[in-house]
Amino acid sequence: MRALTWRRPAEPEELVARLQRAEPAAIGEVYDHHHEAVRAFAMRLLGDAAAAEDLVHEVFIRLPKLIGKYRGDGTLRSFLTGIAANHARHHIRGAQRRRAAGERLGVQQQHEPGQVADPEREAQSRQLLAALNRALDGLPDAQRIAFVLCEVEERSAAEAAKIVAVPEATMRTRLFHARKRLRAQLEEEVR
Amino acid sequence: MTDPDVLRKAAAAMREQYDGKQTAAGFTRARIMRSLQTRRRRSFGMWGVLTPAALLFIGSTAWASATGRLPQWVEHVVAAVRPAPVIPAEAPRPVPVVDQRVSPPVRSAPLAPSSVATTEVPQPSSELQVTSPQPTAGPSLAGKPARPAEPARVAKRVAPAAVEAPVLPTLAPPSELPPPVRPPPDPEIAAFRHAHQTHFGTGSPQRAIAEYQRYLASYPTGRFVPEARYNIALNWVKLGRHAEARQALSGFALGHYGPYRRAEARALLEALDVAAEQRTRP
Repeated sequence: MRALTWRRPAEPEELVARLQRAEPAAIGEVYDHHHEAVRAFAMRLLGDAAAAEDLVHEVFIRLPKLIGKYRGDGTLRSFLTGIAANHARHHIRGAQRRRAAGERLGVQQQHEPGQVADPEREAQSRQLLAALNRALDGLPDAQRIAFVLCEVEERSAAEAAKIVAVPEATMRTRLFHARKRLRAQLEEEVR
Repeated sequence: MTDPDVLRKAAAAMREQYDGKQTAAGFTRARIMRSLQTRRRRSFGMWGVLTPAALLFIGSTAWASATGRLPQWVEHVVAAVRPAPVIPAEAPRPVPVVDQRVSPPVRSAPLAPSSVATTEVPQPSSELQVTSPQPTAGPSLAGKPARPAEPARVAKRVAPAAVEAPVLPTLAPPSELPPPVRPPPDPEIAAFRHAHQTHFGTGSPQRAIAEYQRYLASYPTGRFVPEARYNIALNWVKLGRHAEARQALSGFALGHYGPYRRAEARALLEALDVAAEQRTRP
């Protein structure tokens, strides 16, 4: 597999022009710089590694056609996140089915092994994460996206609204309802 | 007692656990590059067909225009593009159709216009517009003498013997219909079915692999190539031939066949990795 090395980012206009021409090298550069952020968002939104990889793949495949809409008013990373948010819907369904099937069979998501300083805390964290994924499955997609952008990724409502191209008031409303439902469900599970 | 920060803690847990650092990153990058390459190839292929076709069309039109054959050229193109017009069954005919209900016909008697199925008679040629010599025309006029020339002419015209009865299509009764023609059996389907039955019926992975490979050799671009290749991979796994199985599964895992068996192939490859790791442990 190709090693992922850091390179100095190209000038935005030049990079956008190369992306519009669907130059593989340009798409590779953008991938190298932003794949972690896009994948993190995809994982947080979908809760399933395979679905997240599919969504990441779709984002970068669609990028040449959609880059024409990038006005430079936000970062390229936010633009990529917006593509992921707008194309996540059918991946959400697939991830839900896969997660539900995994839970029925007792199969747990494989996480990257690492050095765990506090196994008990790690186990609690995983349990809470599983509960949150279950609770997110009960939300409408728009509220789910709002929650992940604002609460998990700690973006402001204004930034999140710009990413999914809705008014800020709409984003705040979605976030409010999402928080209310999730809190109630998590408190029920944790009790 | 509920934890007021449970939502915040859950969000923090999600942030920590899903940080985007996955070992599949390079794998996905390769997949993206491959998809883009395939798309570019398809796009070039399409332009490679459309551009010469467009040039040929333009050249033909210019030649036709220069040689004065443009109208015929346009006619040929339109005829080639437009579907043939369907002639309706009830197209008007120059000869009026007699309503069979008006019978028996009277050869020499005048027939009033109302006794003829005028709805079926095409309009007017004025000589077919029967104008009875009597203003009070009706069936009661049958047999009454009238002006000889016109009525006779009209009667002759409308007499059913003088008029060709419309030829209506009739359907043969079902028993007389020829038996439906069955298409000949598809050899590719037969070949794949045989391999499939060997795979599921005989319990012999070697034989199944041989049959699938025979199918692939005969139909390298057949409809069932992905399924055949995947089942070969499964049989390699059954035989414990993990190197061959990895090679066969990698294409599916990389998305060479789209989403078909992609998740299953990845899961199998991971399982093979785990098995290999366990074997190497002391």
